[in-house]
Amino acid sequence: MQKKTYLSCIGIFWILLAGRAQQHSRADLLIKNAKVLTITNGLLENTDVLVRDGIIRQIGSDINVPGQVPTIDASGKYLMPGIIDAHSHLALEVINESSSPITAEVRMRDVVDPFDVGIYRALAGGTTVSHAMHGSANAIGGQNVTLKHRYGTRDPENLVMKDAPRTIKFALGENPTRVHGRGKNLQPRSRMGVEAVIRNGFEEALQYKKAWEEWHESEENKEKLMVPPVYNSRLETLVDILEGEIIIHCHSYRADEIYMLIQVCREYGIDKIVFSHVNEGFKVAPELAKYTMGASVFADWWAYKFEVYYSTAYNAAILTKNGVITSINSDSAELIRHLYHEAAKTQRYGELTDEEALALITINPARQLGIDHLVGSIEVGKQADLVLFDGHPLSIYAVPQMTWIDGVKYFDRENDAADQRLKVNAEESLEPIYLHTEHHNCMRDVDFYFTGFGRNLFQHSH
Amino acid sequence: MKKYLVTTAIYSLLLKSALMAQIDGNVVKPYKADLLLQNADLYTITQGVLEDTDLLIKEGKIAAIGKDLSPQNYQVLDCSGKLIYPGFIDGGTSLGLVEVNSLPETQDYMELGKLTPQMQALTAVNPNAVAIPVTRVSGVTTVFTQPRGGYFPGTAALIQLNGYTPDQMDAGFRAVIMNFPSAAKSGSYDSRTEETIQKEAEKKRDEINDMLDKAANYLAIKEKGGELQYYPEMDQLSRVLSGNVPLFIEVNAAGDILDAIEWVKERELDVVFTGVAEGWKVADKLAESEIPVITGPVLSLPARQSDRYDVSYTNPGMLHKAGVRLALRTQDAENVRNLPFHAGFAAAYGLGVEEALKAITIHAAEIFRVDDKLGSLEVGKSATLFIADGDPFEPKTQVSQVFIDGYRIPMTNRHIRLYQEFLDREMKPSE
Amino acid sequence: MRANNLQILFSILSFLIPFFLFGQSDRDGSRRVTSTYYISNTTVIPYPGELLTGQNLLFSDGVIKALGKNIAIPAEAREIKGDSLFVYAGFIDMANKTGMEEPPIPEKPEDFDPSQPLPEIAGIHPHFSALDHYQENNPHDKEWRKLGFTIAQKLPKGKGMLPGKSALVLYGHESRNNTLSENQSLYFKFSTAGGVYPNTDLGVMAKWRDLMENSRLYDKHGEMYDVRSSLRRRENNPVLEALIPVFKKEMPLLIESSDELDIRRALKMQEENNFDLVITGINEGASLLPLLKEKKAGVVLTLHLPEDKFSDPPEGDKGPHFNHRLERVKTAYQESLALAGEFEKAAVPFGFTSKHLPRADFFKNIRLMVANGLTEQGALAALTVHPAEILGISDIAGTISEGKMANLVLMSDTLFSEKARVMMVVADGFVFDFSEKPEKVKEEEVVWEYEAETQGGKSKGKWTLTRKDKKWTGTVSYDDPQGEGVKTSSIENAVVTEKSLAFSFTVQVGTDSLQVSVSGEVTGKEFSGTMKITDYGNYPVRAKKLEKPEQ
Repeated sequence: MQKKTYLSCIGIFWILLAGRAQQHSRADLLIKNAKVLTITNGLLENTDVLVRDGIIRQIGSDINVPGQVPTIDASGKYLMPGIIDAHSHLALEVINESSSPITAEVRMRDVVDPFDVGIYRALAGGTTVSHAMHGSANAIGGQNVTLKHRYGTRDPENLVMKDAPRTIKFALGENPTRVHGRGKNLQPRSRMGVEAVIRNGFEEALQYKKAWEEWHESEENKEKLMVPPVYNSRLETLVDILEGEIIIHCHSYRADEIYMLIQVCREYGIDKIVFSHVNEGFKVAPELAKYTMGASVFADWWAYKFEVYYSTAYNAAILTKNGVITSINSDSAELIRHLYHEAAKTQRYGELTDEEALALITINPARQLGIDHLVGSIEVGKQADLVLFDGHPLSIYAVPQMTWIDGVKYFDRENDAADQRLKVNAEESLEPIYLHTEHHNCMRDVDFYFTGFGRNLFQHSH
Repeated sequence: MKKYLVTTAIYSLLLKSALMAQIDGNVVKPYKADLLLQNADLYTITQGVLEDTDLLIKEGKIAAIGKDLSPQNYQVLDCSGKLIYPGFIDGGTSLGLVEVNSLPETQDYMELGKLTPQMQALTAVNPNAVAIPVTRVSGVTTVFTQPRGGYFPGTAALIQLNGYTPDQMDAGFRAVIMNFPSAAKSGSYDSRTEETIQKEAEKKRDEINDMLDKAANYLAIKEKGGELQYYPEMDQLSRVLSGNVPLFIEVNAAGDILDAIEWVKERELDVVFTGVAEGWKVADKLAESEIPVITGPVLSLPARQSDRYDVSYTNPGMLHKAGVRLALRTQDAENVRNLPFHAGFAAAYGLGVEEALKAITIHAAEIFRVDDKLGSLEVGKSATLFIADGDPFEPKTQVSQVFIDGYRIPMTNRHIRLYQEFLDREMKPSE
Repeated sequence: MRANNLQILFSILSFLIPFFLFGQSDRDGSRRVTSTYYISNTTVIPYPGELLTGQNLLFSDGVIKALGKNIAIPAEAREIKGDSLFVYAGFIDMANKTGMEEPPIPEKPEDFDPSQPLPEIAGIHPHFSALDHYQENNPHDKEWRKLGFTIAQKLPKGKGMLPGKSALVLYGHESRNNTLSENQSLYFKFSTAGGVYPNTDLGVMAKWRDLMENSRLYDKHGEMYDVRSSLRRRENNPVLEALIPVFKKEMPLLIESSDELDIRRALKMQEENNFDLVITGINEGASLLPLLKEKKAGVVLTLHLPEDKFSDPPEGDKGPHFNHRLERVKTAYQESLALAGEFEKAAVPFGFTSKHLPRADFFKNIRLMVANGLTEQGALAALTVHPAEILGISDIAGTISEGKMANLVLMSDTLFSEKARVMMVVADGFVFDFSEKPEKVKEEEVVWEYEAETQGGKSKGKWTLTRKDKKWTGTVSYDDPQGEGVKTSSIENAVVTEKSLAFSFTVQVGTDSLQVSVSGEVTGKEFSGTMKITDYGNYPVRAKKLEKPEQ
């Protein structure tokens, strides 16, 4: 009897939860007496933050509002902006379209998976925005999508941050040369080939653009009547890159390849480029500072493959101190749960200040994603993506307590149920157990090329 | 911005001189020194915190602990405001057995075959692995490095992270590793039916039982002085059965843990469980069995989709509360340096700082049967310890000096050297 | 429009039907004597929700000619006794692949570049037709016909995203051409040939967009070239050619889905390129109902249902939250079963597909759906009128009325009752009789204890009904009207269904014989009805079924 009541309670709870998240995508909220880590304006003690319709409207002391606004007493707690992950593969059904060295036409927005419980787990670690990227199999991969972790919806479009600009994945080095060169006997097989493939793509895009311009002219001039060229969304996308409409996020490790792409971009007049992982970025920090939108790095990952053997955990510190816009990313369903801790590691490796360290996971990734005018700091007018910690987020003992997106609470450590799956397999009898699995999946969906290769190419796949 | 430039300038000045010193031939290498560490807060683990206390390192051991020890002729290191901890022990790694994870040429942790208990991890430990100095400057001084693979992948060894030969690194503990065949469904790609899963696990368990029966046979003949053919696999397993070498059993799913407890009881084995990811589900049963546990990685995803998001963080705390003897592991190679952070997360999520500290010091030492030498700051124990300017679990804390068996460890490694070289590069891009 | 075409096609077929013997005799005796039949005195369900009793149904040359109580029966019509039968419109299966073969695909060349494969190698062959790879007389279709299916939408096989065009076929007589229509819809699925571009849903979506756009440009090129031949010639491209009817909304795109995210992707594709959309294989997505309704997508639910895995959970996996997890699996299972009912409640018409369904599960699964919210009418509609509408063949199929194709299912009981059996199937006017070889029907004995109120007071006794070879016989016991003791008579004309019981018997009273008929409704173990004694009157009678009949 008791059991039955318990179970039916769960049922009701689920209905409520699902309903809540879908009905209110923006909400009102008042957080009182928090220690507010604004990121852009230092730490404000004993401060209230008022949110109206999902937007931060007021930051100050003793804010009182008439009417019923959900109010949180945050005395003694730290409030920071929602954490932003500039490199993730969360909530994606597919990661790599690895069948061609250039796949600029594919869109991650087509394969967003709202049922990934990893979204909730990221929220529980304070991460509210992630950059859901194509994998690193191709020199030019697909178009990424920036997600807001509005967990609870069944509609993938509800996760999409619609006011974020377009971005695209590039990848250099071992992954594309392995997948295409070694796996399929296609260029690129070397770092020389990676450059060539990218240049070929850009040149073809210019020709394509010209062909269409000529045709459009001919449409207006009956004398010059032409048949239309073949449409090619791959080249369309490359044209958009050349015209500055898309930010490149490039998977890269070695200094030479980073420098190569900087040079290629400069040649084609592209300045919207962010380097990702970029383990040897520290070697070309001045160049990254001068010519790019920065570097998104791991706090301490290294040695999982040869191109990251000569890495240093001091990378983020060197980059920051050289004036590079630097962020710390996860590329992992596990790390995305504690990016605040990853950022804190820069205090051990390079002694960054609290502000510098927190910027790595807030305003800096926001700048790299082109959404720094919307999120990434606690400022009036910005979207109310917030996370409340019981201690300073850079402390190992800090535990995220609540997470909001657009003023809507999506995580509450005290009140949330354990099982957060939105969808359950009706035929599941034994629930699968995942142990020590590779959580980082830059190279997912490429395995078909490597059967019978004689060695495992996938053990480490970022 | 200005502040950056100033600090950067100061850094580069300092670092340049350091670099010069190296070029001048001042080779940095570990050296043994008798040394008096003065006025530190000693986190002894076994005797609480001794504030403002001295610690004397002599001939590789902790020779004395006390207030105002006489410096006599010893070199003195002022540790005012500093904290001293015993070296941290990682209960499960592949450190030294792999250099670059994706390159099979550098992977020495796995041998062919399912019955290879005689394979010695210590044989393959590379004392010059780049990850070793990277690890030890964090205060992690001692790791259990282990082979993986089949049912009995080999014999793991506890090593000190200093030495020129494996023997010098040997911390004096070995254990045979066993993987308990799982009856759990492994991931969503496991398309086997329940029946198949169960049958396959049973078959594997039967195979292991047969192997151990054979080993028992071998042992009986050996004990009677009978003539035996060369059979290194059975020879090593017979050492497990005779109680000379403990058995470390990797087991993670709740159901498997319960089965393993029963199995161990039936076979009357001396074991330690490792992994134990779902231990929290059967914590009482584990406690009742009195089998010690080495769990981790703490910073990992929950085993099941339906699990609460923080179960990997809370697992150590829940095991401890139930009364399980507990150590922690990273199960890493290049990032064993994160052990203090794994412990810190466990501490924050229910284990508590004191217990978390014990889990990577004295409790680990006990499980590895080296608590006479390691795991706490006590007179007579090995001078394996480190000096920090704060709580070593906190990322912002800096570890200023590490000692391993009385050797003063150079506080550098490739990561630090690359930092020094590239922080302020000389040749900047032209305008 | 298409339906009209179909009808034309059909009438041409009808015209061709008479056998031309060309001077030869029918040496094997395989011809039928007549193509005109009538089902006499039967119960007809002309469309879901309506039930007509005592009907005669006449069909000839594959077309229903008349339905009614009093219709003229031509002399050449052969009678099918329909007294104990329930006649339904033939079922329509959607998105079915039985009898389909994989089309041959060109070999990969030596210097194969997987990033730019030939369309056929990439699984992109929308110009292929299902009919070109259809084994018309395959045994599977005949088995499905035994279950009542008379029309099926056949999908082409193929590994990739665009396997080809579907066709509509009849499960008619093997001597005939049973094609109803070719090029019925274009089949799309979220799958790939593997190892070539496109390799995942990412590539599939991108490739689709490019194909649609280039199909438009191809069409435009063609139009321009027609006007001015001095332009560059348009190279023939069968792939792009095949897509033109889709964007012109002359042919629907049938998209196979495997989960609700596929359904959303299908709707997104429709939004981007504005075509007529049918989504098949639907097994979840109750939350999408408003959207599906709004977008007016054709909807095909799978008849395949998940297995019950929670009633007998595995050992060894228990632990905290085990019951909670089990409960969620159970909920998900029940949601699957209730899905069809949800669609019906939302008034989104849908058909069914038998894809992936073992035949033995067909009636079982429909009954499960009915037990979980789908009405019987809804279930029947999903097998008849709705698929006919979605396929655009409502004027020839889906219901029983004059002028429609003679596609009928003759059941021994109401369609979804446990005991109902398909006795005969009429497809394209051909009668397939399965009543001769009934699937092993167990001998069964039912004993009722009855009590009737007559003028002479209460009358009690037993009805013992025995079924042998699907025929019910038995005895009635009653108090001897002429004195002491119990007499029995044998039961005649017994009609037993799950919900009704009727029979008659004769009582000898001296030299007179009384004709008695009993009929009434059965609810569980209760019978309630009337006993009619000819020339005397009607009397109420109640009976109870005995649990274990005494021998």
